Amino acid sequence: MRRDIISSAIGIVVLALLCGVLYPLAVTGISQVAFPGNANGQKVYVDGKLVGSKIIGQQFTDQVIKNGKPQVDKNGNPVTTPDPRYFQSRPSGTVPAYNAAASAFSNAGPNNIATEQAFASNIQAYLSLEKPYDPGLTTAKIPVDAINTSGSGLDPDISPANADIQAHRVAAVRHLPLSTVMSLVSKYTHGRGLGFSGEPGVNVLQLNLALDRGHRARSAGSRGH
Amino acid sequence: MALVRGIISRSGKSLGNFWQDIVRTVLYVLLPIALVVALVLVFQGSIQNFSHYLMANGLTNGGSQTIGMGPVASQEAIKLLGTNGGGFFNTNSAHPFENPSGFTNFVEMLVVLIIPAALIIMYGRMAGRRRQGYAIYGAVMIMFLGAVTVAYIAEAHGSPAQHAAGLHTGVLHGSTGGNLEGKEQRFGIAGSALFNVVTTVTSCGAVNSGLESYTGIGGAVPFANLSASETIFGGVGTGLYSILLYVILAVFIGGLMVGRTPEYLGKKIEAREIKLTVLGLLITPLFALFSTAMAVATSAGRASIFSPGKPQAFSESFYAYLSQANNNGSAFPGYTGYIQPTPGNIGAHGVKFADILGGFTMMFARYVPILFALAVAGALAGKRISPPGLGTMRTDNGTFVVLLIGVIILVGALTFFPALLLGPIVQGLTGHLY
Repeated sequence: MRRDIISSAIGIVVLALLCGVLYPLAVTGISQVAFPGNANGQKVYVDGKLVGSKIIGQQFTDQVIKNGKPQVDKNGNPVTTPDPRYFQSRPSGTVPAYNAAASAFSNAGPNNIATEQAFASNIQAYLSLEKPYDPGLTTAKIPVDAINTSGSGLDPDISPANADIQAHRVAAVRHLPLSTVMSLVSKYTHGRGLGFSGEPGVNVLQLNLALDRGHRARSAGSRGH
Repeated sequence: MALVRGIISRSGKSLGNFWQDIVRTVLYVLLPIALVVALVLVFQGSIQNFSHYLMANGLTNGGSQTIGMGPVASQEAIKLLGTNGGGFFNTNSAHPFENPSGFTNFVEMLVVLIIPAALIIMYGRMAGRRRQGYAIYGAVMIMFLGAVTVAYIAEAHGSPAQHAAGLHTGVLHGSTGGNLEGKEQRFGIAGSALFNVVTTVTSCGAVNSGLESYTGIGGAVPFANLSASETIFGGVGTGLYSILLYVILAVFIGGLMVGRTPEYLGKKIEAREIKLTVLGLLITPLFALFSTAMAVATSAGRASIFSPGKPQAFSESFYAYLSQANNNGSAFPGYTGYIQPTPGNIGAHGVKFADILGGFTMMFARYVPILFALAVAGALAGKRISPPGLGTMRTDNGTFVVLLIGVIILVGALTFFPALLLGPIVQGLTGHLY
C-alpha cells in the first residue's frame, strides 16, 4: 500500500514535469528556431509601426469624428465607417468587431428572427457600399461570406467572389484599371489545402497592403519626373 | 485497455498494471505524435511563444486591435490527439492561430480520429481475431459516413434566416454558398461540417465553426453523434469501452432473436454481465435528460439561455447537458453558466445554476459508466473460453455489423428522439422564424 502511494506520487510528478513543462518548452524552442515568423504571429509592419498579423483579420475602417470628437456607441465602442479605398473583411461576431483579444462566435440561431434582421442589415450595408460602383449588384448576387459572420470573428479571408465585387469599388476610388486590382486579387488568393481540404480565399490584409505599396511606388515615380 | 484484457483474458487473474499502461501511452504514443503535429501547425502558421499580447495599430485607424499570444501549437496538438477539445482561444479551432489553413484543418481531423480508430483495430489484434476489429470498424465507419453526408447536405442548403433575408445560398463562382454563418472562409461548408462530425463522434469538444449557427438538421447531427454515447470511434480510451458495451448488448439481443446462447469471443454472456452492461449504457442518457429537464423547467436554469427563439433555446440547453454527460465539451456556445456583461462570450459575472448542474452531470454521467464497464470486464475475465460450436453466433460478419448498427441507433433513438424533436429537428423541418 505504502509503496503504491509513493510510486503513484513519483509518477504524477514526473509525468507533470514532462508533459506540462518540458514538452511546451521543447516545441517553443524548436519553433522559434525553425519558424520564427510563424511562431510569433506573422507580424506585419508598415513604416516601423505594427499593423497587425497576416492571418488575423482586421477592420479597414475609419473612426467617425463629429465636432472634433470620435463617436462611440452605447457600449463605449468607437463608431466606424468602412474605408472605401480598401477591401473590407467579413462581418464579425466579436465585440467590438475583430476584437483579437476575445474571439467569439455570433451564436446566431438558424431560425431566429434576430439572425434574419442581422443578415438584412449587413446586406443593406454591403449594397450601399458596393452598388454605386457595381450597378448590376443585387441581394441574390452577394456571396454568403460577405453577409454571414465568421467562426472566429477574426477571419483573415474573404471569398474570391466577394473580392471580385469589391474590386470595382477599390479600382474606382483609387483610379486604377480594374484589371490591375483583379490581378492583385488573384495574386493573394490561396488555394485549398493539399488541393482538396478547405476552400480558396483572399487574404484581405495582404491584398490591401499590396494596393498601398503600388500606390507609393506610383507616387514616388511621379515625383521623379 | 483493462476492459479489453478482461474480455480476452484466458486465465482471468488481473487486468494489468495502471502505471505501466499510462507511462507507455504517454512516452511512446502521445508525446511523439503531439510534438510532430505541433511543429506542423507552426509550419502552417500557428503561434508558439510566451510573449505579451500584441498591440497592433491596424492599417486604418478603425483597425487597431489587441492580439492574443501564447504557446498555442503545443496545446493544440495534444488537445486534438487526446480528444480533449479545450481550445487555447474562445473560438477554439476556428481561430486562425489554432487552425491556420485548410491543410491544418485536415491534419487536425486526422489527429482526432487516429487513436480511437487504431484502438478498434488494436482490440481485434489483442483478441487474436482481427476480423472482430474489422467488423466493429465497419459498423462505426458506416455510421460516421452517414453523419457526414447528412451534415454536409443540410449545411450546403443554407438556413431559413438566410433564405428569408433573400440570400442566394447555392454555389456561386468563387463562393461556397450554403450556411456560412459561424464558419471560416478557409474551411468552407465541407471542411466545417466534416470537422464537427469528427469531433462529436469522438469525445473531442473542439469546434472549427459555431455549432449554434448550424441549420436544424445540420445541428441535429452532432446531437445524434453525442446520443450514440461516443460509440462511433469515441474518445481516446473511453470510446472503445462504450462500443464494447454495445457489442455485448448486440450479442445478447442477437442471441435472443435466434434462440442461441449469447457468447462473445467464446465467453458466455449471462444475466450478471448483461445487467451491468445495460446499467452502463443507460446511466449517461438518464443524467443528460434529467439535467436538461431541470434546466428548462426552472427559471434559474433558463437564465443561462442566449437565444430568443424557443426551439433554439431548448437546443442550447439540451446540447449543454448532452455534451457534458458524454464528455464531449463542445457547446451551443450561446448557453452559458455566466451572466454576460455584453453579448457574445466575453467576461464572467458569477456562477450560475447551470454550472453546478453541469458539474453534477459530468461527475455521475461520466464516471459511473466506467465503473460498470470495468465490472463487466472483471466478470468476463474470470470466465473460461468455450470452443465455438455449430450453435455459436458469428460476431465478425456483415450480419453482425448490421445488427450492431441497429442496436446503437435503436438505443440512441429510443432514449433521445423525443427530446431531439423539440429542438433541432423541428427547426430543420420548418422555414419558420422564431
